Amino acid sequence: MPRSKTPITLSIILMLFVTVLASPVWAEQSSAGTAISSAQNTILNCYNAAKEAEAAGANITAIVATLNEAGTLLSQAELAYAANDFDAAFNLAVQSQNALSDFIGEANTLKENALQQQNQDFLINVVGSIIGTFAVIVVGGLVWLLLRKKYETTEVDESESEGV
Amino acid sequence: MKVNLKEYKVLLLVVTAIMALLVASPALQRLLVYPQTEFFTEMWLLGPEHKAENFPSNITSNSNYKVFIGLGNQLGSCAYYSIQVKFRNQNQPAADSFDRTASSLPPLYSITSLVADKGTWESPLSFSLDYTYSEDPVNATLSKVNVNSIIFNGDTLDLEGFSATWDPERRGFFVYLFFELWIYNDVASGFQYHERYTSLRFNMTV
Repeated sequence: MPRSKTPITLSIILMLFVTVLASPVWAEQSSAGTAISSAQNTILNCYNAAKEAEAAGANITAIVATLNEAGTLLSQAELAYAANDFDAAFNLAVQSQNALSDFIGEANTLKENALQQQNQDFLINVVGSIIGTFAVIVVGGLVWLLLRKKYETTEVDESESEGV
Repeated sequence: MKVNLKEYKVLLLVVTAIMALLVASPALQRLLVYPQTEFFTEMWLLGPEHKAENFPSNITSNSNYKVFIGLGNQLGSCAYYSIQVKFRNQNQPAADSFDRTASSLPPLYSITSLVADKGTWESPLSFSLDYTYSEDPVNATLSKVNVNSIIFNGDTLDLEGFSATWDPERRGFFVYLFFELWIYNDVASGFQYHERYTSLRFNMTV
């Protein structure tokens, strides 16, 4: 009876040993995978923020460079992950996320500034321009009335002097 | 002296009209902008001198080569691109210009880039290939080239098991490094092939 139990015990010990040895690797792989996935989501969120800022009329050239740097880091993280270098993959993915820590705030500021600028431009260029056009037409009309009045007065004076 | 009011009337009308048009021009400018009708993405590859010449073609093992890849966004809004770098021999599937399909090969590397509307993006690409020749013992000729790895932008990509055989028509051992353009689709929430690619053909010399 004790003989038959030995292989089972050995197998269990071996399995435990393998599990204990492999678990840090699995943990590293899992952390790296999560970090990469999180960095991908961050980049997509930043892309959407940049797109909204651009749609509002903001110049996003400056923030685009930051996003591209983060994208490069993410590509390297994915490459390290594929090469089973989970430690490097994790670090690179975290660096990628850190590079974008202020991105959404900056994109929103650009968007708000662009919207303010757009409103100001609308007031000056469209409303101001339309009011200005009406003003020019009204002034033109007034000048015409003034001239006509002056012409009529001149005609009356001339006819009066001719009559005398 | 008699004043001819008709002359003044015409003059006044012209002056008023010109001034009204000038004042209205900022508002008219917004209405008279022609809408963009063509939406597309430009993709280019330039040689080491940043010109469309001297592309690497006859290469040697472990030598460094440099090219430039660029994108121009004319899509009307910013776009998130992914350039998938792929490597193949003459027997493996390429991207298809006619069917507008991507190669089924997995990418070795991907470069992502966000490009603003009407903006451009360019990046240098450096690479070197590490390969060895296999000799046919019967004929004492070179029978195939085994590519061990490619160093791309400083990252070593393992290509173990990749080989290229002699091409009797073109008389060389040819491999292709190609760049497929993918674009992020908001609706599908993923990258999709943007129907553009560019490639480099290398003759692996001794």
